[in-house]
Amino acid sequence: MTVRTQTRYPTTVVSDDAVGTLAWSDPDKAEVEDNDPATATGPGTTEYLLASGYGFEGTLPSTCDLIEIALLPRRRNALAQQAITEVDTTTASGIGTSLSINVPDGVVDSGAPGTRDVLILTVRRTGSTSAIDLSGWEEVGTASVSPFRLTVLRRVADSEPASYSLSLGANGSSKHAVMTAWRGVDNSSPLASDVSPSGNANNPTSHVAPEVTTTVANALLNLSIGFEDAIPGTVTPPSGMDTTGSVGSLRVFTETVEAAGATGSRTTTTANGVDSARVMFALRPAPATVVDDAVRLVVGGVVGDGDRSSATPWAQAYQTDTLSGTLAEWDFADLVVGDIDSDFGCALSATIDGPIAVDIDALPIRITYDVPMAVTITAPTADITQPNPEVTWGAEVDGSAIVQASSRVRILSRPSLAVLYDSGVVAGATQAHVVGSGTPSTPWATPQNGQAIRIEVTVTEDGTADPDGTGDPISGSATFDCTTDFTLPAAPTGLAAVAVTEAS
Amino acid sequence: MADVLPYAAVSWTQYTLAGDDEFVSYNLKRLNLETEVWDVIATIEEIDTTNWHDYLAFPGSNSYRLTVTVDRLGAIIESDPDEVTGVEFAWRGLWGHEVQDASQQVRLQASTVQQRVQQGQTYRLAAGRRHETLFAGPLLARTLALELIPEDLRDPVTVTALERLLDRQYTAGAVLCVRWGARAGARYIVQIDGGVDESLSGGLGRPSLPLRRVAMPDGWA
Repeated sequence: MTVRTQTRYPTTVVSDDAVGTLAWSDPDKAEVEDNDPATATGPGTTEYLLASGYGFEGTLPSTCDLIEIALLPRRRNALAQQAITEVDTTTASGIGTSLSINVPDGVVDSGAPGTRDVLILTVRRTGSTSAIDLSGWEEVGTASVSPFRLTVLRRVADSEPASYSLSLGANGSSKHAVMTAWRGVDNSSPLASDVSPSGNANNPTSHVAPEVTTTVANALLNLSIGFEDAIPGTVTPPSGMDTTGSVGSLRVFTETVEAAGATGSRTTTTANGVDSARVMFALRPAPATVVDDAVRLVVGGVVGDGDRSSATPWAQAYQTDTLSGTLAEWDFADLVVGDIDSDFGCALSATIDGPIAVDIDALPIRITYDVPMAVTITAPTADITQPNPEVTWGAEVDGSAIVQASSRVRILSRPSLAVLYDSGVVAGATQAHVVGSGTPSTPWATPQNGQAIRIEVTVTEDGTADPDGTGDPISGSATFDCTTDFTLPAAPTGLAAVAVTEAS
Repeated sequence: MADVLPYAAVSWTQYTLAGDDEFVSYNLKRLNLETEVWDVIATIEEIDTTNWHDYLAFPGSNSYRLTVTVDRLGAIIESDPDEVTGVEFAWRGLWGHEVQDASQQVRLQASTVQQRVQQGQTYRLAAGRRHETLFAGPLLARTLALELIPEDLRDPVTVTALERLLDRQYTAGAVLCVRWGARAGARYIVQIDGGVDESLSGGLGRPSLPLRRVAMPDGWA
């Protein structure tokens, strides 16, 4: 028994909507391994990436036993993080001791931890320096420039009320607030940078927020800036930043910073000189994972029930995963070689938990099988009417292809089995290889008519012709016992004898 | 008419090789009347040599066979034989000659040939015995006694030939072939056992030539 494997690639790959809702784009790109992949974009569950036409038929020995089948998808989740998007923003302003602000519409405030929206609340107020005591919120930072103060709070949405009432004291002073719901922010660690509070009390028109340093790519830089009650005139956001919230003397600007590291400062300009207080920080994108939804074999064009999907998230860089199973584990316990035809293949779907694109570059299948008899040799035959006879034999691999073989033919004297002739290794010999024809360098040593001999053939598979690519040499041998019966030379003629004596 | 050492003049037609065969030898055989085995009497390695003189032919009827041996692709193969029978020899008296050199020969007018088988024996004093005991050895000597006629030894040519053969037994290890024409198959490979009896020189009685049969080396058939 010889365990062998074959790995082959599909010639047909399509997106099949038997499961999932996310279609694969360019599914045929999963036919070859070339870093040009089939792609699906989440969130959600993909359709089947349905592959067939692997070409195993005719290459597997007909009598072999199938042991294991493995899908070897080369795939990746390149981004591995979600994009931070704005859900909604609300604003509020007033002059009383309290200020009510609505929670943005559409906020996701339930579900598994890590999948909820993050709320950022920015409050600018005049006349009070006390901390804002708002249950369930955590302060990000505060900047004060007398007589006003700017505070930023954050919270992972959780059964949010319709609004929050802020107790801000100092009746009669102006108060402004902006609340934004962000989606795709890492719930467990929302901040991706240090916090940079700053302020100016000299009525500048350029308001510089010192830089922060982000620790991840694609962080969302958030700059909140509050002005004193004097009218600042036109407020121009820092270059590259968008206005997310604007109410009275409060602005909130945001910008996605692709590279991790120091962001550089951000400068807001106002038409009029005015004091300002600023808080700048960055939000961390939530990780985005992709896992198998279903991994199944396809036999006879029908997707099986056995699911060999893995719970391990796809790697960020290209990686060839092994999704293997016995025939029973694939729920094809009775699968035989004859079932491995052009309709044989696999179906793979994935679950993507964010708005990201995932890639499958190639989708090969590896089959592991046992060869019950490596080489079968039929008895050699020889024309023993001539010296150095032509020897022929049959060599087969499990009844299929003739082996291109490295073979050895020996002629032995019986019963001693002394070696009369040894061809040595005959690379590339076929079953009709001729021994000793032409001008052999070492002919059969002085064969005699009527000599009992044994012709022994050993066939060893040649690695270069290895049909399954394993390179394992396999061999078989057979013998043929016979007695030489050479065709004799013609008898001499004309023999005569005359007696010569004294009388002649 | 001059005496001629009897021989068989054997001849044949030159062999024609077939195919890729290479000539190895002619193989001339004679039927041994004693053992009934075909002895190889000559192996001739020249294809154009087509005759042979057989000086060891038996008195009486002789049969010959000729085969050829060829080398065919490294195999040494011998052909079936061509055969001739009924080659008759008859002459008076006895011829003796050196097996390896037929020119060293002598003709005698022998009247009878007596054979004797002699065992190697000796008398020794065995332990506890007062008289010697006969011990027999493994040796079995076959001896011949040729009863000659006195005229043979009066002919100086014959005596000289006998003495020369005796001398060659010492100087050349000569082995003799003795053939008695009066009896079919009477051919012996011998050496002269000792010499001529002193009493013969006076011409008294029947002279006798003692011979001892020896084994003939292979190929001297």
